[in-house]
Amino acid sequence: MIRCIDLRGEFLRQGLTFEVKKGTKARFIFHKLEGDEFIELILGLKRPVSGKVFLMDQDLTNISRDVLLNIRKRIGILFSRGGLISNLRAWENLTLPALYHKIASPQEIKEKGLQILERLGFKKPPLTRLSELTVFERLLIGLGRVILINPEIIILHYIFEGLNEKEKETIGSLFKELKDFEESTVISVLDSREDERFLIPALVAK
Amino acid sequence: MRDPRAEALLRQIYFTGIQALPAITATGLLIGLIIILQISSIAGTQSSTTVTKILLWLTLRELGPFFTGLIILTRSGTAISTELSTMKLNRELLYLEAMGIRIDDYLIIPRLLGAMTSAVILSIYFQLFALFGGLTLASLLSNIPFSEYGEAIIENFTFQELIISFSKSLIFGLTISGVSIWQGLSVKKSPTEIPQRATKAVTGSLFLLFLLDVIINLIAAVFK
Repeated sequence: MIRCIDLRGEFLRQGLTFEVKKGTKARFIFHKLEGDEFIELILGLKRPVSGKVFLMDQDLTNISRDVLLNIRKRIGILFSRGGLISNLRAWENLTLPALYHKIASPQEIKEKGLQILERLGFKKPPLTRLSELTVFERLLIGLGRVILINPEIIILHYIFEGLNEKEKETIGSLFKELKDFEESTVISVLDSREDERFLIPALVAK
Repeated sequence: MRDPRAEALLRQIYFTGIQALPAITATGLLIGLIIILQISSIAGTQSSTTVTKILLWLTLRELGPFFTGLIILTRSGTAISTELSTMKLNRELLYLEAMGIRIDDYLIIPRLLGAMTSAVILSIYFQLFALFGGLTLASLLSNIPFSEYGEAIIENFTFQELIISFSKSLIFGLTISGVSIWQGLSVKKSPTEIPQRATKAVTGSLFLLFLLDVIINLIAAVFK
């Protein structure tokens, strides 16, 4: 599903060659700048200095913007601290990509969204402003947003950043309990092996 | 639950249009009063035709679209610029792109359309209050019934005035939102750029408002 050949960027200088096949899990450990750039490169948000990226069989270095955006809507990304949009409330963030890409009717999205919030244990009212959410709660909304679109590829971007040990364990166990990601291709980017222990039982060591 | 694009458009109309109503109402009424006070000091208020002609000409052609533009600029121009530059610095534009959401489709077009729609509606609203305030004062000063001024307004009202007023409002709304969006998205790396960009959005838009006002008036004069 994702294949890179001698991929190099501004910060990512080592020349990455790898392939992540459908339904498999992979994790990468990078420093923040490298990891951020890695995500941008494999999503076609940035052009590589050299090398090739193939995402869902499409060469990202030679692809139109429309095709690229169409591919991206089949990918769910859980960014560090949730990656939420600041002028939207929690619920609006949760449903944004699902509504934008019309993955189901608004009523179905609403029902599924409420179910997801309950499953994730999100306790605050759905229309809470982002400024009233903790980093952990923002991450839950980001996770719910990913589950709601039922993506083919899931990318986890430094998801433990800003969380305490207990919250990291909760996120790890949530991944274990959620069956949504079992069949998906999952790519995790971490900044240290320290955080692997939260992630590996749930995702990598399948 | 609406489509996010429609939601963004309605949100923009709410912030730019609905929330500006008190300011527009007060300014419209006051401008109407000022125009009549000036007319009465120069020409008196006994000729309802003269009074309404000047009031209509000033309100519809010049002050309605321009003052509405100024109010939109000070309220929403800075807000649009600041909001977008903050979103860019917080990597939120990248998050949107990563989710397959087009920036132009979700952020830019709703703001342009929202500001343009609001500019036209607010301008009409401003003009109605300016006319009402002005004619009420004229009626009080001259002892001519309000209805007589009303009839004079209808007699002197031309389609051309309406087209010029509508065109100016639409173009001013587009200019303010366009410059503010462009400035907001031009921020590079530092939070200190946010107020700088907001200032540039205001000064750039203001200059363009004056320039476009002159150009539209010249075009109107040519095609008269």
